[in-house]
Amino acid sequence: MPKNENRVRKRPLRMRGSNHVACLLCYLIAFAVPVAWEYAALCLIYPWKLAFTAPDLAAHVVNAFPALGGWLSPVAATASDGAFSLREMLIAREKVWLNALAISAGIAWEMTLLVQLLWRWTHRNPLCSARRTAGAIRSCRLALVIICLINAAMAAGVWLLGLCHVTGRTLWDYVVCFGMYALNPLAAAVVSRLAAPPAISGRHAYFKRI
Amino acid sequence: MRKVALWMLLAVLLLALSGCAALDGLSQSNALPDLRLLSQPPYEEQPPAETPEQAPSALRLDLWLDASQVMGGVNPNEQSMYPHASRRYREGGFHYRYENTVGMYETVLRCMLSSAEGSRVRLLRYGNERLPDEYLLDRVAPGASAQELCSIRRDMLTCAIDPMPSVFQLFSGEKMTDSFYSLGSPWLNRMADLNARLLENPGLHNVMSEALNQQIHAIARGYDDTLLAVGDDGDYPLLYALANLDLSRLSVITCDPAAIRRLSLVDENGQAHALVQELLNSRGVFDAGLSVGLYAFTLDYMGQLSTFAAADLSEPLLWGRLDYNSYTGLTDGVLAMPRTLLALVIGQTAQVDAFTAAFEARLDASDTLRVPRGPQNGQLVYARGGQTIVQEPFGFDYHYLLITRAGVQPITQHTQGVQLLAENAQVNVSGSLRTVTLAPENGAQPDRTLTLQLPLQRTCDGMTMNAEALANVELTVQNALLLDSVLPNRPGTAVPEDAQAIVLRDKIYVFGQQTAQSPVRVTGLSVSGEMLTVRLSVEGGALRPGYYRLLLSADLPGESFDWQTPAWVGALNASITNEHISAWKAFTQVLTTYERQRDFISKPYQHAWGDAGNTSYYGAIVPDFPPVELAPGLSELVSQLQGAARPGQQPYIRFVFDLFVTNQP
Repeated sequence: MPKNENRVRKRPLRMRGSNHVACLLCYLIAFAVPVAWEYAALCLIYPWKLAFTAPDLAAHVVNAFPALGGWLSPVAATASDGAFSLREMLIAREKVWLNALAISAGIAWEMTLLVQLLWRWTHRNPLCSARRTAGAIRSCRLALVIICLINAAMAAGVWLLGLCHVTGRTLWDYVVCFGMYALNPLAAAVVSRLAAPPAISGRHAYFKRI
Repeated sequence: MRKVALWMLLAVLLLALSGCAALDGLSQSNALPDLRLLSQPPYEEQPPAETPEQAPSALRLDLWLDASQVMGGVNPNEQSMYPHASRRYREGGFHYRYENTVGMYETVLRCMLSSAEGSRVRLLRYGNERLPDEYLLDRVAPGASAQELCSIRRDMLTCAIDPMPSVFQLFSGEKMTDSFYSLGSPWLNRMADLNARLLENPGLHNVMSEALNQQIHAIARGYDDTLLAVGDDGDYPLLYALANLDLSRLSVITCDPAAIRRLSLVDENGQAHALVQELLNSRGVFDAGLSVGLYAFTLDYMGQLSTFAAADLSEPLLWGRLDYNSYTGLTDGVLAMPRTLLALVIGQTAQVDAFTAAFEARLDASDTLRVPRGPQNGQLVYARGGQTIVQEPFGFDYHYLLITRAGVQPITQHTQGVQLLAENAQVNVSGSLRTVTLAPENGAQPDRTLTLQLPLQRTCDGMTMNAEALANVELTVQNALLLDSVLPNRPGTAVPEDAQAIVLRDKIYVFGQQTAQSPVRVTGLSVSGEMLTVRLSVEGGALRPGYYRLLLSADLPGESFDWQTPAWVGALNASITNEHISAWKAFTQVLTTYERQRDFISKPYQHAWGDAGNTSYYGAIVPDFPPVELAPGLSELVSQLQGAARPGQQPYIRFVFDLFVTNQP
């Protein structure tokens, strides 16, 4: 006689190895696109379309946050009038500006990935997967909203502290500065739908199993 | 539907972030590059004017000694009623000698010679004897050029090279027969005593000597008009010396002003000719950077003046004589009278300065020259202006005037006190170069006014200058760095090497040196106090972004240089008119007529026409005695020397500044 006949033995969810690889590839591809875009924007588009248009970011940051004055003073000094020749000053400003764009985009990218992985981690449990799927959809949408807010905040920061001070802006300015923040939520949305945890994904489900 | 709403929300969010400026950004940006990235090429200074070379310690000095007959007090007219030498009259002029008494002139000559100690000194005798071109080409150097003829003349006039001071003793003597100052004197040919190698034309030594001997013989046979300066008012010894100067040497020319006949003539076309000025100009004396120092000495004189300026007198003027006691029959000494002697020092300014400094030091240190000379207690008198003038003892004196080509230092951007003021514009000074930055107002460059205040450079080399008569006031663009072309910002886009490129977004703005019309005009000049104010008008519509390097230039006409003639020139000057000359000649003719009929000369006419002017003499009125103690035409001579030194147009303003037309407000 079995000791506990009422106990239902839950068999572990069996996943094929190819599914893990597919999920990993989906993540790599989806999140590599913003990185590739940002690289192209900063290294290819900016030199030939936006050369010598960098704002004096350090000065604007110091104006907005005077407490950072001491920390940013060396940077501000290199990019301010009178320190060097005008050409050197513009080169220094551009260097600061490109680094700031890269760092900002990197932060947004990492936070997007972090939020998305956090959502994925919270839905890895296979128990009562049918009931959990509805909650996962809601939490997925919530996570995407959070991701959008994070990227929007970073984009707003880029705008307020830098881009709004650029005179004669063109479409290329917005593409270079904000492209990453549009691609990050898209990447998160793609991996959420295509590389969701196996427990909540299925062939014809909301979260597709690849 | 929710998906669409989500995407719409994202798009709206993106547009909100960009402030909807993306719609504007679809078109190309109109922003222009920051022109401060341009760098105007540094201003290349004009090389400084060459400074005259320092006077070499050893000079080559030509001492031109006036050997005219008035200089030596020689009366060449053998028919004259006055004896050439007697107990009362004595020839010698400036270079008289009686026992141990010699004229001050010899001391002056010694000082000149000792001032050039250590130099190669050449003594040249120039007088009324002439060596015409035809004479030289016929006897000395067939086919010689004008320059070569001058050189040959200098050789033939040379009477000593590197002489000792004692040479001047040979010029004077109690017996003036064949003296240095006699017409056709043996002093004309000293070739036998000269070292042929020291001549300019050593190969012609013998030929020149032979020609000079022929000249002496020709003159001795009678007055040969071709070999003498006779009766031509435009030919006298000073002009002859100036025409044959060696400009590479320092030349000192002694000149009796009484031998200067006329300084200016009017030709048959009514054209006035300033003889000395034209001669100096034709020789290029001042063009060669040389200066002329003019000395006026007050020296003692004892002799006869057969001519005085343009007056050829039938009986010479007696000026100075021996102190003869008619009771004892003895001669107690010399009663010399004052006369003015001129000397020109021509050479490089540094050489002239060095020589004159040494010369004046010796003059001032000379004990011989300190002793007053002349008659005392009314021994000699003469009449002037109806008054009897008693000659008092007088001393040696001299005055000096240096005449150099007037040069004014142009006003440049380096001149102290220059101010450039700009209306609604910024003026930056980098070094001495001013840059006016013109920024647009309301998107366009307005018309502006620039004001340039320059300190007047009035005085230079002892002259005043009239700055109101500026000529050629103009503002020119030296170079302009303006937008040449706009190239796409692509890898491999080539930019010309001599151009400056500013990269902005997807364009390369290429700026290059261009020729451009000046957008700035000179609208006014005014002088206020010691400042010259130049008003410039900038035409905003004509400005193009970039740099303009502008040169404001103005010239000062030569007529603007007004010399200040020293007072002593007027004091020593004597103005002689044809009326004077006519009166003197008429009176001496009467003297000839009546005095030669006697065995003796009336006492009043034994010296300087007596002591009472305006008296009657055989129906003729005795005129004032000619002003032989002064220098006839000295003022005009100085004026002509200054006129020759007067430059043509001189650069007066050469002010460079930059105009930076920016597109940044």
